[in-house]
Amino acid sequence: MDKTIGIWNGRPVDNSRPLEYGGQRVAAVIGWSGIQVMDPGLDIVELCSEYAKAVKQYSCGQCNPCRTGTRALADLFAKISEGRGNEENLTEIEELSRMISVASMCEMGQSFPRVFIYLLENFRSEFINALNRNGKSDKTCVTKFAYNSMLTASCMQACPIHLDIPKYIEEIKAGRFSESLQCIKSRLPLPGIVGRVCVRPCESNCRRGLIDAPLQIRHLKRFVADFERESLSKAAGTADSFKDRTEPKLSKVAIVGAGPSGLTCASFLAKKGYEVTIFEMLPESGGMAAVGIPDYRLPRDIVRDEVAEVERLGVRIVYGKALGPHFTLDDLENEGFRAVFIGMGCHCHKSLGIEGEDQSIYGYVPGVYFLRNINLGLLDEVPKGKKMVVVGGGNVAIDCVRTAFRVGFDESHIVYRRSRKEMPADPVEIDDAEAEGVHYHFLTAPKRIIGQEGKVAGLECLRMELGEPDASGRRRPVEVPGSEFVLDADVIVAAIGQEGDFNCMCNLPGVDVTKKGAIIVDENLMTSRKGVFAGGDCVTGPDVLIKACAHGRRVSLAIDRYLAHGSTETLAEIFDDKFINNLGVYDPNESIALPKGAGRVVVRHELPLERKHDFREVDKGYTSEEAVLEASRCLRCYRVVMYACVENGKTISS
Amino acid sequence: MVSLKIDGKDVRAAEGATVLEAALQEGIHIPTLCYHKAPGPQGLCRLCIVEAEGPGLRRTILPSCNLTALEGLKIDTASPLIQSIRKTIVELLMANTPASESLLSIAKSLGVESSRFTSVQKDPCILCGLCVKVCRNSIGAAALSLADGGSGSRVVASRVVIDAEACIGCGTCANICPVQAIRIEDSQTDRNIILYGQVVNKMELVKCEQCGQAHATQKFISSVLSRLTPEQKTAFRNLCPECSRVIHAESLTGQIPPDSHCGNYG
Repeated sequence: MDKTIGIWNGRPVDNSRPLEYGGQRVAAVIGWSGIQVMDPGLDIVELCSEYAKAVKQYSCGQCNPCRTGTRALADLFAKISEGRGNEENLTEIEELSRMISVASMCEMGQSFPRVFIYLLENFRSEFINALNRNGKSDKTCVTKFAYNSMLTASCMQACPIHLDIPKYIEEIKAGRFSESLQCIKSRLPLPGIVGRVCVRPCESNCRRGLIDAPLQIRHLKRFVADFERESLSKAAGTADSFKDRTEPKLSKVAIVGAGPSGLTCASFLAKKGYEVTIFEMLPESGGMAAVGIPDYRLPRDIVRDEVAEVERLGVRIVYGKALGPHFTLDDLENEGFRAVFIGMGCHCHKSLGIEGEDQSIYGYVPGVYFLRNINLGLLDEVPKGKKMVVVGGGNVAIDCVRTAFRVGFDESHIVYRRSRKEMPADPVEIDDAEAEGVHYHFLTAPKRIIGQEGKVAGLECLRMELGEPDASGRRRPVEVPGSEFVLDADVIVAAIGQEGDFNCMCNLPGVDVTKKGAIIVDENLMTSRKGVFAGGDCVTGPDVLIKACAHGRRVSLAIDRYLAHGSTETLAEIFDDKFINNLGVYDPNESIALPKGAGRVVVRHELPLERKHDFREVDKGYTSEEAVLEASRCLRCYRVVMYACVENGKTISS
Repeated sequence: MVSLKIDGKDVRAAEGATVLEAALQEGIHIPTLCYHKAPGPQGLCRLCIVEAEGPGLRRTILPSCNLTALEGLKIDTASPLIQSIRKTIVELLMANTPASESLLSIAKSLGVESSRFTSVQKDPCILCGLCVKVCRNSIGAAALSLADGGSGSRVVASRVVIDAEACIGCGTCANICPVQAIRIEDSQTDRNIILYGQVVNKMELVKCEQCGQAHATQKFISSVLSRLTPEQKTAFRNLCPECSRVIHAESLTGQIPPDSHCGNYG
């Protein structure tokens, strides 16, 4: 080869920086956006042939150019690679590739042939040589390569649990709602919960957003979950509700915490045949999904139904048992549990660290406790009053400030030290809260809690201005001297974050934790104690629900492999994930030549003034027609990537 | 109404109309196989691609059947680029479905005589799904569906399958199929639904009460009856299309139309 081949996204790439897949050196990568050949012994004609063959397998078969075109391309490349081709075949490949890249229905068909056009324009001699070698490689050192392909999409890659989003949207588009739900459930057992409260990283990586607005992927997920739930409730009594249950045949596994990660892990392990017991310290399952999120966002029935579905798989949930106060890891081991998953979340709060912050003063409450007591129906524990001030800018703060109206407060304020733009809460939530009459005080920081006769009387605040960006990239707020003022308040809620439960962490012999109290895990999420795994917020600190589910799913795979084969080697899907992330699937600067459409199908809401005094669900969800219409906006951005490694290649020693 | 340019011609189209509809209305012919106005645009055969350019849209190739006619769009339906790509599409379709007459006539109009891609596996069907949609949405029988092929994990569907119980034998699928992958053959007594060359459903035909000619299936007649009002139902007679025409003409003019060719009439 005269020139090195290395191009990605139209820009040359540095081939001297080796790519690796799971510690193995990658000889070449070919994909939707280019090609990079690192090993001079690799035959690009064979690589193209293998890539064409893989793409043929992934083609969904709906539009003619991709369905028939991929077959024709695979045939032509095989012919050339085997030395049976002629120069006309090269022209045919070029013409087919051009046609498929402009005439295919979805991004998969549009993206994969570009690399063939590029190669035939710039490295035609490689192909001409192949025509004349009668199927024998002209490489002096003949190495055998193994080719592996993967399918990805920008939304799929952004999703922590990597749901096959284009596929389940496609099923909705075709009216096959049950198939759509099955697709989701193959990776996520809690679609009704996640379909309501996910922070939807997928939507910020949706390529439709580069044209008009991203698809409402979360609402589509919720729609199929609700559709099935409603059809099941209609068919109730006739359906065999225990049909999913299989008699556990395999080892006993203990899970600590019936939150999103624990439930996800339990569901997959039970399906594999493990005898799973979950120990939950609260009288309610669902973890933060149940006690940290108000019912107007996530109705309790939805959580209970999805928990019940996990129980139908044979999972046993024991309530009122906490790791630490009630049992230890050694107890679990002695009771015959062969593996443990700790998914106990992060329920402690972070103090404001200001003067007058005294837990015993009536009217001061940390946000997580405020929400938990309301969610558990412990209304006597909730301080009463007319005016509430919440400190913080995240989703918990918004949940508290909106819940205030629903438990009888007349006025509800939020104090946040940066501006609206920097608020970490979901913008939709911020708007919804405003519509309900929440007062925002941006660029305001709390300075002192003012108490009177053992009760909260007000919050002294300071005005702030934005200075230089900090480590998080957000501009750091700086105090404006002398700007103190007082907000009257009966109740002050601190919602500036959570911390791990330190008391409990001390009782985990053999399990290493960070100084802050988070459990330390390896890539497979196993702790320093063999057979004990951990995931969710107790590992990451307060984080999003879908990430906890992703941890639960990953641990279920790791536990299965650990118990079945004693292996603690890194799971292959972790390598896939890293490899694809390295390539970068979503390009926010991409310019897509498609006209703007009618935009997203707006989800109906309960009216702000009607909804704000009770816990009815605010979002009403899609109807079938709305869901199909929204689904039809999907560009189906599947992309195929293939990498080649030397067969039986040595692993790079780290 | 919106104004756009198609092949240099100023065209006005209704709000929400597609470029294909706007072109057809102006007598500008764009070839297509999978478009039919009953189920609406599908965008699967891709023959109707055009070059489009407009405000906020750089020059690009899009299928005209599901491209909304937007204000200020400039459309080229038969530029040299479009012609050359369309030829390749036709060649692929011909390789796939070599026996389709409608496809051959499109090929002829584009000057394509044969396909270079003969190694591609033959399939009588182009999987456009028109039959499935019309059976479900217009007829309401939902007897046809696209079945998973199982050959690849992402294959949405690889062939049409029939639920013979649900089929009412109306023949709409055969009528709408652009490549004659579904056909209807009537004998004196039976109707045969032929899918991919195989008889997949056989239904007894009912005789016209006037001329005695076998003309429709009982399920089809029941389906028609179920859509009628009580008054219409009382007036309903089981007539073949020809007798129905003749009797209607007779009721208007008092005479049997001279071109009546239904031998058994009267």
